[in-house]
Amino acid sequence: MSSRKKVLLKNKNSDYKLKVIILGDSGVGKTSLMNQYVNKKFSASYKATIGADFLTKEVLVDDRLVTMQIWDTAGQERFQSLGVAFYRGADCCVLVYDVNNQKSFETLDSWRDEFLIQASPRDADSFPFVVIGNKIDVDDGKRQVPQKRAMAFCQSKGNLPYFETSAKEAINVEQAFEVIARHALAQEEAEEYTGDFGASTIVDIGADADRDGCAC
Amino acid sequence: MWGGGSKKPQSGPAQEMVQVGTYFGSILLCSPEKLYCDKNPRNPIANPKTTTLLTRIQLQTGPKVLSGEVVLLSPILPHPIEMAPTSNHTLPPADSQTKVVGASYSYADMLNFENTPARPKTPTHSKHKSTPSGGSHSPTTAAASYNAFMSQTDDDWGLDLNDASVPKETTVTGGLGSIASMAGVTSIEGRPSGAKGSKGAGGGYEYPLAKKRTKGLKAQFEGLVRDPGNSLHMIYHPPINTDVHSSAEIEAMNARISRINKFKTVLQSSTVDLTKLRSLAWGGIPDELRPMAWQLLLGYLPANSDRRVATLERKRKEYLDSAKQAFSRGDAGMDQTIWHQISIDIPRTNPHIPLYGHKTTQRCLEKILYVWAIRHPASGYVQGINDLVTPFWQVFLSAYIEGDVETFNPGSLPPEVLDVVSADCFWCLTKLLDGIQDNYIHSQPGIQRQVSQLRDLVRRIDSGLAKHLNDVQVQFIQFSFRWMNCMLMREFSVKNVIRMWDTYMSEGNSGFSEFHLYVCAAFLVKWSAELKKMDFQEVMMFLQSLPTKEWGEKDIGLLLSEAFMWQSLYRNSSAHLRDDGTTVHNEELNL
Repeated sequence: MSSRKKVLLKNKNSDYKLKVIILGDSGVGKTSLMNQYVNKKFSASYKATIGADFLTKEVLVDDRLVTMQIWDTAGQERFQSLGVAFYRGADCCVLVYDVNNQKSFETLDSWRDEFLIQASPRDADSFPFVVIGNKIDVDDGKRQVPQKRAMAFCQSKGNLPYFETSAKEAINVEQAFEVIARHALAQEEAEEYTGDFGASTIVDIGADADRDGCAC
Repeated sequence: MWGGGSKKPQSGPAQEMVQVGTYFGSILLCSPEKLYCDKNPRNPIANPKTTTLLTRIQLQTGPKVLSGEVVLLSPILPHPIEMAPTSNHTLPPADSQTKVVGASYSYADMLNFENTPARPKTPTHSKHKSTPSGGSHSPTTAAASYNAFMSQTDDDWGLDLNDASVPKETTVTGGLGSIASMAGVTSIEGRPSGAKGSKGAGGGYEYPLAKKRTKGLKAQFEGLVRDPGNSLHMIYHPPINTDVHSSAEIEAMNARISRINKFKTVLQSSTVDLTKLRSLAWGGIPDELRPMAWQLLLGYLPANSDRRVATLERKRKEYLDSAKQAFSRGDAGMDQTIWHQISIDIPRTNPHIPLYGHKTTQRCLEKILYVWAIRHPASGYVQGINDLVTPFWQVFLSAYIEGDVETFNPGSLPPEVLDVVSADCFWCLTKLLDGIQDNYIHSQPGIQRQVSQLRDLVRRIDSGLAKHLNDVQVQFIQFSFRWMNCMLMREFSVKNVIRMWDTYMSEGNSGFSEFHLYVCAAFLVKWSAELKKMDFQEVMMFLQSLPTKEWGEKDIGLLLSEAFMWQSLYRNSSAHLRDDGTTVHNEELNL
C-alpha cells in the first residue's frame, strides 16, 4: 500500500511537496492572503470560499525547490466537519485573524484545537503553526486587537511565529509565507527522519481508519 | 452523428463506452429499448421536446430541424415526433373563453370597461391604474394552512387531464388572445401583423408592448405584481421582415413563437397541467415565461388560476410581515452570528455581475436570507445559500423590467415591486431548500451522501477515471463538495444555471437532490480524457477552474441530456451501486 506521504514527496519537478492549511474565521482575508502570495493580486470581490480552494506555488528554500500546496479553507463553522478531508497530511497550519475583529482573534485557539483533532499530527506539541493578523491597512482607529495581545497569545502557545499583514497592500505577506515554507519543510523532514517511516505510516493508517470509521 | 452535440461522432464498437458522447451514441444504437422502455415523458430520447435538446438548435421544433439533424434519432423514437404547430395556435376552443379564467383573464376582468368582448388586454401604465381589487375571483379567503392548500391544488391535477384531451389544433376565435392576435406578432409567413396598426384602432388605447417607463420598468408592472399570469400577454415578438432577416433567422423566430405558444397553451389554462408543464419545461423555458413557470413548478403559484391572486397576496404579506418583525428591534433582536455571516457574504455574492453591486439588491437579498435562516434554525444560514437565491432574484426581477437584468439597477423600482420580487424569491428559495435541507444541517449529511454517491456512480460509468483519481489520491470530497453545496453555481454562469434549473424543477421534488447528482457525474466524466493525464496537483487545479466560461445553452442542454441518460440507467440500480460502493469505500479509507 502506498502512503500519502510518499506520493507527496516523489513528484515530478520539485523535491518536496509541502501541504499548508489556512484556517480562520469567515471574512478575515484567507483567500486574499493566498492570492496575494501566489498571484500577487488583490481583489475586493472574491466569492466566499466553499469547502476549500487549492493553490500551489514553487519556492526556493535554502536552494531547495519546494512546491507549496496551499489549502484555503472556508471559514464558516458549518464546514468544519470537512476538516478531515483537507487537513490530513498537513505540514504547516496558518491561523489567520482580522486585527479589526476581536472575535476572529478569540476563535484562533479553537481553530488550532480543531486542526489538531482532525489532522492528528504525530506530535501535536511540535506541529508548526503560524499566526497572521491581517487587514492592518484598515485605519488605526478600527483596530481591536493590540499587537501585544496577539504576541502574548503566540508566546503562550509555544512561541508561534506571528505576522501582521495586509493582503490588500501586500505588506508582510511574502515574509510570512517564507516562514511558513520553512516550517513546513522542517516538519516534512522531521517526519521523514523520525525513526522508521514504515512504522509511522502504519500508525497514521490506524488513526485515519478509526476516525473515518466514526465519521461514517 | 447525432446532431453534432457530442464531442465526437460515434464510431467503433458499441461496447466501447469511453466518451460520454460516444457512449450516448452507443446506447442509442445498441440498446435503445433501455431508454425508450422508460415511460417517463421527460425522457429526452423519447420526448420530442427534449430530442431537440440533443441537437445544437435551441427552441427549434419546426419541421426543418426535425427533418434535418434529428432525423437520425427518430427511427428509434417510440412515437412520431409531434410537429410544432407553426401557424395555428394551440389554444382552448372558443367556448372556453368563459372557462379560461387564467391569471391573465382574471386581470382582464378588471378591464371590462374596455368593452373588448373577446380579448383581454393588458393595461397601459397610465390609464387604468386604479384597478379594482380582484375580490370576485379570490374565494380562498379562508384557506387553511399552506400545506392543506397545496394538497387541494394537487387534487386539481385530475381535472387537468381532461383539459389535456382538448384538441390542440383548434383555431382561436375568441377567448384569450392568440399570439397572432397580439400586437407585434407576425404570422409565420414573416409578414408584420400590424402591431402598429392596432394602436390607433382601440380608440386611443395603446397596446402596451415594449412601452418603456422610466429606468426600464415595464409599463404593465402593476398587472404583473398582482398576477404573474399577465406575463402571458406581454411577450414581445419583433416583427419579421423578409428584407432584413435571413431565412434562418425567420425560421428561428418562428420556432420561438411556436415554442412560446406551446407554453402559453399550458400556462393559460384555468388549471395548469403541471405534468405537461414539466414535460415542456424540461428542455428549457422561454425567458418571458420563466418567472411564472418556475413559480408553478415549485408549487408556489397555485396551478388553479382562481387561487392565484389571493394566494400571492397572502404569501407575500406573510413574508413582508416576517421580515418586518425580524428587523423591527434592530441589531438587538437579531441573531448576530447569522446576520454577521449574511452581511459579509452578500457583498461577495456574484461580485462580477453589476446587478449584485447595487445596494437595493444587497438589502433585499440580505433580508430574504436572514428571514429564511431564522425560520430554519436546524440549518440556519450556510454559505452557498446566498448563491442559490440569485437565480430567483434575476428571473423574478426580469419579469418587471426591460433589457438585461444583469446590468439593471433596481434602485429606481417602486417599493411594491421590490417587495413582491423579494417575497417570491423567499418562497421559491424556501421550496427549493425544503428538498435539500440535509445539505445544510450540522455536518451536512446530505452533501456527504451525495459526494459518496457521485464517487460510486463515476466508478460505474467511467471506471478508468475513478481509478485514476484514486491513484493520484484525489478524493471526491475535495472537489465535489462545492458542487453539491452550491449546486454547481460556482462552475457555471448564472444564466446557465437558470437554464439548468428549468430542468431541475421539471424533475419534480428530486431535481435538486437527485438529478443534480447525475448532472455532476456527467459533468465530471466530460473531462475524463484530460483528467487521466494529470497528477494530483493538476487535477485539483483543473477541477477548481473548469473551462466552462464559454458554455452556452446548448452545452447545458447536452449536459442535462447526458445526466438524464445516466439517471435512466442507474437510478434503479442504486442498491447494487451501494453494495459495490461500500466495499471499495472502506478500502479507500485505509489509504
